[in-house]
Formats: sequence, C-alpha cells, structure tokens
Amino acid sequence: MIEVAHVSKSFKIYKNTKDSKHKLRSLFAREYEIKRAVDDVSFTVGDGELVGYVGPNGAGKSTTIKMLSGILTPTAGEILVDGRIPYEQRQENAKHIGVVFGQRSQLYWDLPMTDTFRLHRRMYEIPEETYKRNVDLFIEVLQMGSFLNQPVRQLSLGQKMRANIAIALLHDPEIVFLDEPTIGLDIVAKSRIRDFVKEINRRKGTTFLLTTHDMDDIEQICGRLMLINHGRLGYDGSLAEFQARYGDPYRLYVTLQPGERPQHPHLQLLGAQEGRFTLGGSKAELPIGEAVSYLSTHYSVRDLRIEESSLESILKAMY
Amino acid sequence: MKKTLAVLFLYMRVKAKGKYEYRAAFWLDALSFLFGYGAQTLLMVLLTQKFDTINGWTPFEVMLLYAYTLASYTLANALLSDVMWSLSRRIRTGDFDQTLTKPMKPLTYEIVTGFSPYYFLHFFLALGMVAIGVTQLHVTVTPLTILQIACGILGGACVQGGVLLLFASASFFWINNPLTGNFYTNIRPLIEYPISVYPKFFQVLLTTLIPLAFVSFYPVQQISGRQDFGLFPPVVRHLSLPVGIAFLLIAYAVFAAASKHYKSTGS
Amino acid sequence: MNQVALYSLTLWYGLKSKLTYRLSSVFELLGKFLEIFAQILIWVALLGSGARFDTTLSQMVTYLILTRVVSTLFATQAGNEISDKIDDGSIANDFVRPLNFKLYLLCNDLGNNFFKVLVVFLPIGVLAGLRYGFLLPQTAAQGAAFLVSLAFGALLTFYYSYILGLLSFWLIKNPFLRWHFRNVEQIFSGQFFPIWLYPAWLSAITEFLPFRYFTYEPLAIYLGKTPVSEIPRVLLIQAFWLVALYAVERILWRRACKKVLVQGG
Repeated sequence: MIEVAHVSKSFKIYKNTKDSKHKLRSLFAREYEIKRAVDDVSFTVGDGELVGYVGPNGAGKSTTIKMLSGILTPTAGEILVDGRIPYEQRQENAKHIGVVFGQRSQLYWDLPMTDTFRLHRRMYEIPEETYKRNVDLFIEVLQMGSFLNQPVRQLSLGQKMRANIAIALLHDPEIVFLDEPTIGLDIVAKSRIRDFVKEINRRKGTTFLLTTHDMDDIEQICGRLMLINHGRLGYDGSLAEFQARYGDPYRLYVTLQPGERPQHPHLQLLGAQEGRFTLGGSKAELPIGEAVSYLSTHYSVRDLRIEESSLESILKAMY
Repeated sequence: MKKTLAVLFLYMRVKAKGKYEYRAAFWLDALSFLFGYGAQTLLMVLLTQKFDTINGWTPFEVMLLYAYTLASYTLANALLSDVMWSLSRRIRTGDFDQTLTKPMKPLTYEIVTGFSPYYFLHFFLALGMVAIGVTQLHVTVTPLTILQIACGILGGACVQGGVLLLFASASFFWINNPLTGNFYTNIRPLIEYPISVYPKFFQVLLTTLIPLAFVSFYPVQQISGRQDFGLFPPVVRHLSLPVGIAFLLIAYAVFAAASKHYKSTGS
Repeated sequence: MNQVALYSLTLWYGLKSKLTYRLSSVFELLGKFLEIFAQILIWVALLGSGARFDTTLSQMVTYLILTRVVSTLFATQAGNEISDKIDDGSIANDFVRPLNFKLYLLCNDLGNNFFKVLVVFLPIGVLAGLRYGFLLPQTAAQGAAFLVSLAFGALLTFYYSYILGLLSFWLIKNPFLRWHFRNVEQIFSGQFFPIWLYPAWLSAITEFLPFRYFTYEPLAIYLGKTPVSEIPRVLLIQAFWLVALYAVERILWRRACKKVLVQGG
C-alpha cells in the first residue's frame, strides 16, 4: 500500500544571467528561483490496484515517481510505501519495488539477457525457486525466447522494453512503477506490454502505478486515474467515472442534402462547410442514439460520423 | 559484503565472456598496448641515458617512481575509472536514478558495474617494472621489502582512488564536471618525477592536501634508501598505507555526502 | 553577411564561449598550466645550472613553451564534432547552412585555442622567460625560415588532429587506443624530449613519420639547431606531408559524405 500525505517537492532553478554586468556577481552567487514541481499532493493506493498517473509534461509525474522510489526526498509531507519511508530506507525499499523508466534502459549494454537475469538474481538475492519460476513465466508471456541470448545492444526498442519490464519484476516486487513504458513502441509491442502488466497483476496481485502520455495504456490497463497538473492533483478516482463525468460531450459530423440545415434545441451548430455540419451535443441532454435517430428522420442524411469524447480530448480540454 | 563480492565476480565473468566480439578489436588493443608502453619506456630510456641524475635521483629510481605510480593507478582505476569518467554523464542523463533504485549503495553499484579488469594487464606490466627497478638498484629483497613494496603500492592506490572519488563527487554539484575529464591525466605525470624539483610549497601541497607524494616519491625511498624528504621527517616513507587509507575514507565521506545532496535536490 | 565578417564573428564567439564556462575553463587551464610547469622544472633539474649536450636551459624553456603554443593553437576538435554529427545524422542540418561548415568549426576552434594560449601560455611564458630566459631567432633569415616552417607545421597540426577526429567515426571507440597512441605520438614528435638529443637510430626512424614536422622542425629552425643548408630539405618534406594529409582528408571526407547520403541524412 502506498500512502502519500501532503507531499511537496521544490527545486531551485538557477538563472543564467545574460547581463554582463551581473556576470561577475554571478561568479560568486547565482540567482535562482524556486519551482514547485509537486504541490501538496495526497493519495492512497491499495494493494493490487492498477493506477494511471497522467498530466502534461512538467506536471510533476516523474518527480512523484522518484519520491516514491526513494530517489528524491520530499520538501514537505510524508510517504509510506508498505510501511517504509522510501527515501530513508532506500535499499530495503528497493528490494520490494520495481521501477521501469521508459526512455532509459537499465540493461547492461553488452550482456545478453540471460546474464542480466543472473546478475539481478544475485543482486536481489532471489531464491532459486522464485527465480526459475519467474524467468520461465516472463519468457513465455513476453515471448522473449527468440532474443534471450543476444547482447542487449542488438535488440530492438520493443525487445528492450520487454526485457526491462522482466528485469523489474524478477524479484517479485509488491509494487511496480512504470514511467512511460510504451513510449516509442509500435502497436504490437505496446499491446504485449499491456497484456503482460495485466497478467502479472492478475496472477500475483502486484500493484502498478503507471505514468504515461498514451491514453490507450490507461484505457486498457488502469481502473483508476489520477490527474496531476502544475504539481497539483486534479482528479483522483475511477476511470469509468471520469469518462462518464467528463466524457459527456460528443460531436456529430453530418452531411445533408444541399439546401438542408440541421437544427435541434439540444444540438449546437459548431461549424458548417458546403453541406457538412459539425454539431455538438451533451449525452445528459440528448443521448447520441436519439440525436442520430432525430437527424435521420427529419433530414436526408448522406453521411454521419459520431465522435465521442476520448480520454485524450478530455484531458486536452482540462490541461 | 558477500553479496557485493558475489555480484562483482559474476559481473567480471560475464563481461569477460563478451569482451572481444571482433578479432580485429583484440589485436588492435594488444598492438596499441605494446606500442604505447614501448614508447613510454623508450622515453624513459632516452632521458636516463643522456642524463645521469635528475635532482640526484638515478635512472632506475625514476623508473621506480613511474612504476609505482602506474601500478597504484591501474589498481585504483580498475574499480573507479568508470565512476570517474561516466558518473557525470549518468547523472546528467538521469541514468543515475536507476542506480538509486537498486538494493545496493550507489557507489557500490557503480563500482561493480563499471569494473574494468582490463587494467590488471597494465598492473602486471607495472609490477614487472618494479621488479626490474628493484633488481637494477641491487636492493637485497627480503620478505620485509616485499611487504614494503606492497604497502607502498596499495597505499598509492588508495590515494589515487581517493583523488578519483573526490573529483567524481563534484559531479553531484556540477553539471559539466571539468575534473572528470583530462584534468587528472594532466596532473598524474607530475609524480612520475621526483617532486623535489618543484617549489617547496608545491611539495607541501602534494604531501598534505592532495597526498600524491605518498604514491611514489616517499615509498620508493623505502626501497632505494634515498633521503630526499624536503620539509618532512623521514618517517613519511613508511606512511603510504595509513595516509592512503585515511585519505580514501575522507574521500568516501565526501562522496556519500555529495550523493545525499543529489537525492534531496534531484539536480 | 559578408564572409569575412561571418568568420570573424565565429572566431569571437569561440573565444567568448570559453569565458562562459567559468570554472570548467579554470580546471582545464590549470591542468595544462601544471603540466608545462612541471616539464619546465624537470628540465631545470636535468640541465642543472649550465648547458649539457649543446642544450641550454633557455633553449629548452623556449622549446617547451612554443611547442605547446603551436600544438594548442592549431589543434582542432572539428574532426570529432563532424564524426559525432555523422553518427547521429545531424550533419544533414549543417550541409544546408549557408557557410562552409569546416571553416566555421576551424574558426570556432581558433577562438577557443587562442583563449587557452592567452590564459595559460602567455603568463607562464612571461614568467619562465623572465626567470630562465626566452630566446628569439638569432638571425632574420632564421626568423623568416621559421615562419614558413611554422605555417606548414600549423597546417599539419590542424590536418592531423582533424583527420584523427574524423577517424574516430570509423575506429572502434576504445579509450585505451587513444591513450596508447598519444604516447607514440609524444615520442615521435619530440614533445617533451627534443629530437636533437635522440640517438641517431631513433632520429632516423622519426624522419619516416610526419610527427616531427608538426612542431619540432619549425622550432629546431627557430633555435638554430638545424643547419641552414638543411632548411630547404625540411621545408620540402613538410610540404610533402601536407599534401599527403590533405589527400587523406579528401578521401575521408568523400567517404563521410557518401555515408551521410546513404543514411538518408
């Protein structure tokens, strides 16, 4: 279980003085400003949850993950990961968590996967049985058999990512932090990773906290969504509720016979271009089905396209 | 500790397996090694043939200075060269964060995964030079002599290791740490010659603040019997190991404090 | 913008960029300073109070400082930079720009190097000169011959460092290689130990390699170590090596361009 209570993290950002008058002074004392990367954030994550942590770049996502894994110390507030304080009991905590940084690999450049596995077994002191079981499981579910013996530098991005996740889970951590795990991967690779995460969660009850820009990751894996912006937590609740609450608006792109013009009290005309109309509606006021049926009975509809609020568009509007 | 050693040995084994993927790389390496050291030796020979002494030091004594410096440098480097050269980059790119997620002390992890056993080749060459120097100086070799040489070189390794560690520590404060570039490579040759050629204040600096004089200049005099200590008492020639260990411990403390600073500000 | 102005501006920025690195520059310069400081003092000890083997202290001091000045001033990182850019493909951008990329890099380097020379070698040159004596060429003819030889030597230094930089692209990136090779260069170029003191057999070997013609030969003329009759021969060989290095550079450059085109830039 992860408990985060009123956590803040501030950084000193040093300014670069362009003014040559100040340059001499800046040799001795540099000017800086304080940036609050994380601002009074509180949440609790229970065992076995699959949580998505989203926000625009610079919102504080990576900083939060780093505090949870013990890399950074909060400026204020408290964090408890399974009863441990990560930044104070870093080594002990490290044995029970797994971390994957999507844009960075923690594999050893010229070693094949098999050797990397063995190295990690030693480092985390994984019992033989657990080790064998996990290795076999990972090779099977992630289909790593084909590249197991190749040195890491010869692997494709997708293969490297699979390897990184396998390594992170080798020691049966209770909690795993995934920071942009599917970034830069093709559709097939992404889907493999997502299935793997769900499978491990199902089998072992591992808690996953996932930060990502890919909304499909969230929609396919996570049950819960946390939204962070400018260091503050905006939304924290179930994904379904989020979509219901904010996913209300929809758009209809309808092409009618020349001369016709669609009208409905609950539909807003957003745009018109040579017989093609963009209509905006709200599910609460007028369900999509009713809107479509209304249009098709009152007008000669030549073409109709429905666009629901995607998670992406909701977030875009919120950012 | 047991775990650290186990991981280290495993890492050495697997690294050694994949070291030379291409035959060409191996031969290129071997040839450059030979030519490189050949050239260094040639330079020493030239110097010593033309000039009988430098500040009273005879050619083979100077050779011992070089050999001690090299032997202790390669020992220290086997463990710390990667720390020295890549720490700055790893911090900058964020790779160091990964180190902090491992169940090991960060320095231990960096040393273990950066271990360069290749330096042992250079080490044995340096030991060979020590042997040559010792025999040419007609020193009677007793178990005590061996012990003195071992302590001298180990102490020297601790001092140089400490310097590398101190320089690397600055990476936690400095984004483009200039100390981890060629700076030490430029300084090291200074102790390959008798430091008595340098001004007094510099000798003091090399004995107190950055005790590089304990790497070669003082311990070699244990063996050669020379008495050239400048402002310092003769006992310094025996102090390489204790001074080295003390310096290394200080350097380690600085490194630990610096890495803590990194943790709380995240650079 | 007029070409001359453009390149002069580049030179100035090269100089200025060194200033903005503050402490980084300080240590780089300190390292170089200590290196030559030690070298001078070692020679002071070697030569004692007088001269030996026809070599005086002031000759050695002049030699050491000028060797450093020349090799620092005309060395270039351009080769390395281009090699890196070929590696990551960003060189395509530079081909599109309205300037000669190589010339740009050279000017930038000159600016950088000039700064290093100014801050390190000028002070130590003045100090050492005052203490041990700094020499000037004895005759005007020597001075003139020196300048010609220096021009060749400077170009050779430039081309050599440039080619090495470019080659880092093809060579396996092994740090030891560079370290060992530097030692070989040191011996054959007479950087620390002047070649006029070498035994005949070694001196003969160095004549087949280009290194002695970078800084040693110009300085040997400067200090009067080369008999006047030998000077034309030296200049000729320098010219030969210059042509050779130029040819090598052309070949490498063409290969590099081909590689960029194939990569699709």
